[in-house]
Amino acid sequence: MLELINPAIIGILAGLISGCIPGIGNFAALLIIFPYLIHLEPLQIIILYTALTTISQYIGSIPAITFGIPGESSSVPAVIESRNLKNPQQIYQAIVGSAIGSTFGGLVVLVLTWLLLDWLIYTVHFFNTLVQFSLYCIVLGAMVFIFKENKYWVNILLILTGFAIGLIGYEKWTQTKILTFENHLLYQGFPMIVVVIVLLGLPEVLKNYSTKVNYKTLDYKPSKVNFNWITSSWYSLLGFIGGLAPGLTTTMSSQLAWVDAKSRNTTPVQRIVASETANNAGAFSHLLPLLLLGIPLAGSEALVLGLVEAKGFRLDTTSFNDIFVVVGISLVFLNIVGLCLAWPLAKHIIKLFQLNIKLMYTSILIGFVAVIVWVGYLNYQTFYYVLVALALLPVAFIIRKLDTMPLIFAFLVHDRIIDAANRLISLYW
Amino acid sequence: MKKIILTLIFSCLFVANSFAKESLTILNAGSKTGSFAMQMTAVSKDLQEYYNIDLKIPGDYCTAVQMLKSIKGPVLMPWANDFEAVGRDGSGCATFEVKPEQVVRYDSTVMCLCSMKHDADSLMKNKHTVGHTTPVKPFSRAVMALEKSFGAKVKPIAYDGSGATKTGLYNGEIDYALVSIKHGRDIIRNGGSCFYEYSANNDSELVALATMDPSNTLLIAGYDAVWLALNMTDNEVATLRATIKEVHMDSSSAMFEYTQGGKVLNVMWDLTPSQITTQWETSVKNLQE
Repeated sequence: MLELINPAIIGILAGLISGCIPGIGNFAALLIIFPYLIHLEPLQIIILYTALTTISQYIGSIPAITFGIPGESSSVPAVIESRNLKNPQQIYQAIVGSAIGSTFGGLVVLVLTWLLLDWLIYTVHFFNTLVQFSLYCIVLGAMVFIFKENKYWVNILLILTGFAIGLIGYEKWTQTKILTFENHLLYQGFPMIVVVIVLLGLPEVLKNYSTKVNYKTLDYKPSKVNFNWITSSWYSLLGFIGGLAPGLTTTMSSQLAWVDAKSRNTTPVQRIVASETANNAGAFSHLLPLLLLGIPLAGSEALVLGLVEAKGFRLDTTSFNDIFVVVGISLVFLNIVGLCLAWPLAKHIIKLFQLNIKLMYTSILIGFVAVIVWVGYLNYQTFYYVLVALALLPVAFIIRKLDTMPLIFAFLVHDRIIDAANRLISLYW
Repeated sequence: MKKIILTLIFSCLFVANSFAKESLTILNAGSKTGSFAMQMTAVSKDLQEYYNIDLKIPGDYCTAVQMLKSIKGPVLMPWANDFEAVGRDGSGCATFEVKPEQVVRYDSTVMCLCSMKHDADSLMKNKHTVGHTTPVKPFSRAVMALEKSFGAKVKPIAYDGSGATKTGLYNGEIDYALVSIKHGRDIIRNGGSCFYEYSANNDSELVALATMDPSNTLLIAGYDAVWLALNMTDNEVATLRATIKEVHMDSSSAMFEYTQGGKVLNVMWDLTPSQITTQWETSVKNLQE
């Protein structure tokens, strides 16, 4: 277990970045720490990712409630409701309630999963190629309509572009070379890390580069916090279900709980607590398809899956029991850390916003370039990596104003979809 | 004072250098989750005591061969007859010249046909699906050889790796699986049975298909794999070969666990260079078109 402490600490720090800095979601946070990530063992990668997703949910609520800035996408309900907070007591209640609710939600889903463990493993018997293919289609289909920043046809084009970029290279199912121009370097296709950084990391940072944060000290006054464990259990359950929504995961969790809370004529504080309780519940449930079936529901999960498999490790039912025990124990500790960060330490967390945000983004951009060069160097292909990055820059420029996650997701899972599609054709035709 | 400090620094560097381990890049040429990946992960743990290991699992042999060109230091890379067969047929992305003096391990495992709910007779008489791994062509040809020789109505279904093939068999998606004997044992442990093997071995526990139709060479199919020591002197190759053999024999090693003490993988340590060439070429030809 000791070897998991360092990855967990790095995951917590990455969660801080992901939760605090607008535009730096879990995916971009993973890219920043990529050189560290590629040296880890599969279980360490999973623990780091668990820490990252859990802590980012806790931290995301602080800037959302205080400054009205969504550190991560699931904090949008908190941003909207923060405008309705009238006095320092309510800010205090929202922050403390969110922290307690998040811990409660995280632990409730952990117990729920533990109770359902045998049933979950049994469901895998139905997980054949048809179900796999359908799931991937649902995820991609959902992405067309979920990323509302883009028009739906733009999302379709992005998905097709992701597929097309993924197809470049030697295609093992048909044993054909696609757009390789007899260049042997292109047989391997475009390096994953280069595509992800240039077509996702870069546009995301550039989009948020001009974000302004008007720093103010956290002005809250301790007051009584009401915590209702029955309603919190309900929002945890909603969050659990929402976390399984392809492409949306924790965003769906917080939205579901927020809509439900609004329909009950609750106060803004209660609505914030509801959405924050749910998104932390979803932070665990969205990991389940990944750990149990090797099916990623979000882009960052597809990246983690690729990394874990690159270590020769297969995520499926055979490894699930062992992983669940370790992840479960880690989650208990992570939720305690999250609670401390989001409640007693919230005043200090907020000080991160005193830093020059433009400087942070510039450092991240330099970091991205360094990651491409470093990973290329580790793979003895620095020149190729840099060349591919330069070749993709015009594409990045064209799509700079779009949400490029559909493209990246399609790129990351294209081989699995082709694999399942080929098998389906063989099985049924 | 300066002299003392400099002497100390140089002494430290000298001592550190004397005890420094050689570097060794272990480059997996197989898929990310296949048997090569498992073996390379296992052997990299075992060899850590002797070398500074840099394990690379790029995910496919196309990338691995490209990476190899840029690696200047000592490399251990596995290479399999199925990669070579599709490469020589012109549909792969690389071929590799196997020089016997670079081979530090030669192993061979026959493919067998297993099922969870069907029996041996049913395969030959009824319509069935048979799962197999990639590369698609050589193994789908081996499955179709059943039709040619025995009139079996079989449909080959390709999976990405033996793990996925077994999962397909367990969830009832395919009726039979064409897997190596190691995975066949896993299937038996999980309540299934194995009936046929792709060999001409009369002494086998399973029915050797090539003995039923000696004219069809496609009924002899198996994984032959060589572990190649590249960018090394003869002495370095010999040392690595001896070390690898030692870790295979060590009951506490990860390789011993993987091979179950040699029970599930036929590693041939004492082949002469000409035997290596002959066996390798035959195994490649058996999988070629």
